[in-house]
Amino acid sequence: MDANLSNGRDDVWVVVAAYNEGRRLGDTLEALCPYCPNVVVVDDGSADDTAEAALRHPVWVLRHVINCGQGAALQTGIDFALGRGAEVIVTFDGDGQHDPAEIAHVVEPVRSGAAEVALGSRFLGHAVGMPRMRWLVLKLGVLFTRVFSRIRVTDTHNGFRALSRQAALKIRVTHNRMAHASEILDQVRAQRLPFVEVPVTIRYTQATVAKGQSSWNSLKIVTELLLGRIIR
Amino acid sequence: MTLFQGIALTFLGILLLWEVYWFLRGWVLRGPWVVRCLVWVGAACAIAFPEVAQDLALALGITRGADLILYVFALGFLGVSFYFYSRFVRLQRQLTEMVRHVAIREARQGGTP
Repeated sequence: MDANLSNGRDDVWVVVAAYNEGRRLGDTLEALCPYCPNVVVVDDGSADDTAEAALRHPVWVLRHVINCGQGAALQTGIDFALGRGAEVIVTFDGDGQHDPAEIAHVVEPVRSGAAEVALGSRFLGHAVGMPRMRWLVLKLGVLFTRVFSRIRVTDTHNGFRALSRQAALKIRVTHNRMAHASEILDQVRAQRLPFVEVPVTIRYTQATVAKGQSSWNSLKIVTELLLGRIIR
Repeated sequence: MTLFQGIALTFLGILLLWEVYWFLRGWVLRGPWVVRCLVWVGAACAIAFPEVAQDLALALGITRGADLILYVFALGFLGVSFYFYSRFVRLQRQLTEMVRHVAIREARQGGTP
């Protein structure tokens, strides 16, 4: 399998949601662009030079005039990619935690028709430098998802995933903030979309751990999800 | 009539008159207006005739009229909280759609590094 999708595969789009990532986004895009010609960066109302940093690379840049949240930014990028004729949409974190060389592996099940959704899993792959507390919170998240969403996955909050065009048209992210990952799983199950999990590598650094979600945020996510079930 | 009853009933009376004024000018949404008026009238009745709340509480199996009012407030608070939360969520979604629309319209393409 060719790891570089640029060889005639221009219907794969990578969506990167970025908020105050001016310092790290450049490195992420530099690594990402050789693997995919269609990248859309959604600057989610950053206060820094995230958009300018993105514009130095051959990518599309969309800018939220206010900070709406990662879920909202991803949906914006997905809408844009669909409008540009994307057949496969990959969501990818802007902080450099993901390995762009693995995009081809994540896309492959969707491309081959084996699944409509391919979900990256750090627990099937590798999580380099993951703090123990984060491991525990993510495992509790998996348990919660199995009970609450009734979907058997090994990693619930992994931002590395691929959606077929049909799946992207059916899934609509309405939770603007971090609960969107669970909402996507909810919708995968509700829409009966065939999915597979793909091993991926996540690299934690001090900066990504510091900026990432706190453990308390997981309680906020649970509350948002529960309220979301009551209030539509 | 106690001093508290006098002050509270005067205040509620002014509120009711205020509601009537806006109703006559035709600047109200009928549903919320009716709910507000019922709340003011209900509060006035509970203050003016405390024995009514007491009788109602006994009829409902609650010992004290004050407890009945507390329960009504607690339920009302929950209802209002859910109402405003759902309004907030709806507004947030509409705002997001607007922000999204602008972002897609104003998409820019970056250059080569």
